[in-house]
Amino acid sequence: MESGLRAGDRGGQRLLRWLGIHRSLTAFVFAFIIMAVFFLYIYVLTINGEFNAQLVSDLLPAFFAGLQLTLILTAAGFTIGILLGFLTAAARVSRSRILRAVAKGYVDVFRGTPILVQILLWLTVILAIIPTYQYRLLVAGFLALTINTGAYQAEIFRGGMKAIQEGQLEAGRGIGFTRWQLMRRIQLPQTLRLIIPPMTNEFILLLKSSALLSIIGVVELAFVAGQCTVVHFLPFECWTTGTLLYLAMTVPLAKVVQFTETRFRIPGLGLPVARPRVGRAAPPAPTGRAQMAGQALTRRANGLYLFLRKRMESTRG
Amino acid sequence: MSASRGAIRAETLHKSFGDLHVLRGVSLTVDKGEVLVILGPSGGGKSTLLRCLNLLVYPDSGQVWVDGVLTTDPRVRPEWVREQVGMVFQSFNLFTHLRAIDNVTLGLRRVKKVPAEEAADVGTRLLERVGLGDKLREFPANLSGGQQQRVAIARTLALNPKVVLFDEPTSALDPEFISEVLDVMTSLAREGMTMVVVTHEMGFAKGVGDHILFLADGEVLEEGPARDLIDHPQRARTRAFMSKILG
Ligand SMILES: Nc1ncnc2c1ncn2[C@@H]1O[C@H](COP(=O)(O)OP(=O)(O)OP(=O)(O)O)[C@@H](O)[C@H]1O
Ligand SMILES: [Mg+2]
Repeated sequence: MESGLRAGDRGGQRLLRWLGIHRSLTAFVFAFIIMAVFFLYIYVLTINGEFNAQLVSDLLPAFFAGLQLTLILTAAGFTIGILLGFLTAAARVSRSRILRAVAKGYVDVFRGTPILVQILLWLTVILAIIPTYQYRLLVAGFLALTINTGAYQAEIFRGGMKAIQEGQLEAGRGIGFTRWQLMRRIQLPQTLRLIIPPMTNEFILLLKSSALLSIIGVVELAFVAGQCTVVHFLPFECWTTGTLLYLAMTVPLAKVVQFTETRFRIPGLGLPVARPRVGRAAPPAPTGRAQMAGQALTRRANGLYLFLRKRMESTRG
Repeated sequence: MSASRGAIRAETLHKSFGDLHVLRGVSLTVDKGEVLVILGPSGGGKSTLLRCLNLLVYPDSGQVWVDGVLTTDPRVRPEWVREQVGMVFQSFNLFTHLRAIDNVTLGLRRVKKVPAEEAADVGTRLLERVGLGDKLREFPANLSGGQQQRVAIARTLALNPKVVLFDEPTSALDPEFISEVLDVMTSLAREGMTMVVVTHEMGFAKGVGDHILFLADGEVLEEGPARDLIDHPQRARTRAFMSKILG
C-alpha cells in the first residue's frame, strides 16, 4: 500500500519534471492541439454550410497582401526602431545634459501616451505637410510605429546595459580600452544577448499594434479583415481568417527566438541555468564565498532580466 | 630628475571625493622587480591609491611616473597608461560573455592589435602558466573563484605590463582557493615582475613583499622593509593593526 502510493507519487513527480523540462515543447503541442480542434470545428461548420470556406479561399490573396504590409511595416519600423532605441539609450547615459534631457523627454512622451493617439497625431501632421502625396497614410502610420517602438526599445537597451556589472567595465578600462571599445566589446555583446526576450516581445507587440493603423486606412491585415466583413457581411469568416494569420506570424516567431536563445546561451548571462535532467547527477553545489558572490551577481542579472521581460509584457498601451 | 628611479613612483598624491579627503599626500617608489605590499585599515584609501597609479582615478594633485614617464601629464593618454600598469581586482571582473582564453586575448587583439592566432598562442601559454591549460574554453561562470582570479591575472599579464597592481586579490576567495592564487603571484614575483599588492595575507607580505607601506586615513603612517615592519612596527597604530591581523 505504502509502496504503491510512493510509486504513484514518483510517477507524478516524474510527469511534473518532464513537463518542466519540456515546457516549451508541451506548450507547442498544446497550441497545436488547440489549432487542430479549431480547424476541425471550422471544417464541420463548412460542411453544414455555416462557414463560407469558398469566400475565404477567394479572399486569401487580399488577406495575404494585408499580411505582407503588416509584416513590412512592423519589420521596417522595428529595425529603424533598433537604431533609434540604441541611440536614445546611449544619449541617456551620455555626458551631455541636453542630450540626456532630450532622450528622456522622447521616451516619456511616446511611452506615456496611447499609440492610437500618436497615430492620429502623426496623420494630422502628415496631412498638413504632404496632403496630396499618394502614400501619406502609409507614411503617417509608419512614422507612428517607428517612433513609438524606438522609445520602448530605448528602455530595453537601457535596462540591458545597466545589467552589466560595473566591475567589468572597470576591468575593461584597466586593459586600456577606450569608452567606445568598452561599449563595442564588453557592454554591447552582453546587452544584446540579455535583451533578446524583451526585444522579441516588443516585436510581437508592435506587430499587434500595427492593426491600429487600419483606423487611418492603411491597408494592412486588420483593415483587410474589416473590409471583408463590411463588403461580404460574413464577420465570422473574415475575423477568423485574420486571427489565424496573426497567429501564424507571432507563434512561430516566439518559438524560434526561444530556441535561439537557449541554443546560444552563455553561462552566467541571461537565461537561468537549465535544471539538471532526470537521472543525471546534479552538479556539486559551489561553496566558495566568491562563487556565492558570483551567483548573487548572476541572480541580480537574472532578476533584472525577468523584470524587463515582465515589464515589457505588461506595459504596452 | 628623481623620476628616472623606480619602475613606478608617486609623489604627494591628493584625492578627495566631495568633502572626503581620501589621499592626503601619499608618495611611494617601487623599484624594478620589487614587490610593495600596502597594508591598512578599511577605508584608509588603499584602493584609491592603486587606482591613481593606473589612472582609473585621476589624483587631484601630485605626480605619477611609470618607467620614468610622467603619466599624470594631461597629454598622456590614460588608455596607454593602463596598458603599462595592469590591475587585478578583488572581484575578478572577468568578461562574462567570453571564454577564459578570449578574456585573456581581448586586450591583445583590440588594444595591441596583435593578430588572432598570435594572441591565441600567447593566451594559451599564459593560461598554462597559471595552471589553467585545461580550462581555455570555459566560461567564467563555470570556473571556481580561484580559477577566475588566475584567469584575471593571465588577462593582465597578456598586455605585458611594466607593473601589476593587485587590489585584495584573495579577499573574495574561499580559504581553499587562496593558496593557488598566492602561488601564482609568488612565482610572478620570483620571475621579476614589479608588483604593488594590497592584501591582508601576512604570510605573503612577509615572504614575498620587499617593502611594506602602512596606509591609514589617507596617509603613510609607516613604511620599511617587509620583515622589519611586520615583526617590529614602530608606531602604536601600526602595532595595533598588526596584532589584530596576526590574531
Ligand atoms: N568613487 C568614489 N566616490 C566617493 N567616495 C569614494 C569613492 N571611492 C572611494 N570612496 C571613499 O573613499 C574612502 C577610501 O576608499 P578606498 O576604497 O580607497 O579604501 P580602502 O583602503 O581600499 O578600503 P577597503 O579595505 O575597505 O577596500 C572610503 O571612505 C570610500 O567610501
Ligand atoms: Mg579597497
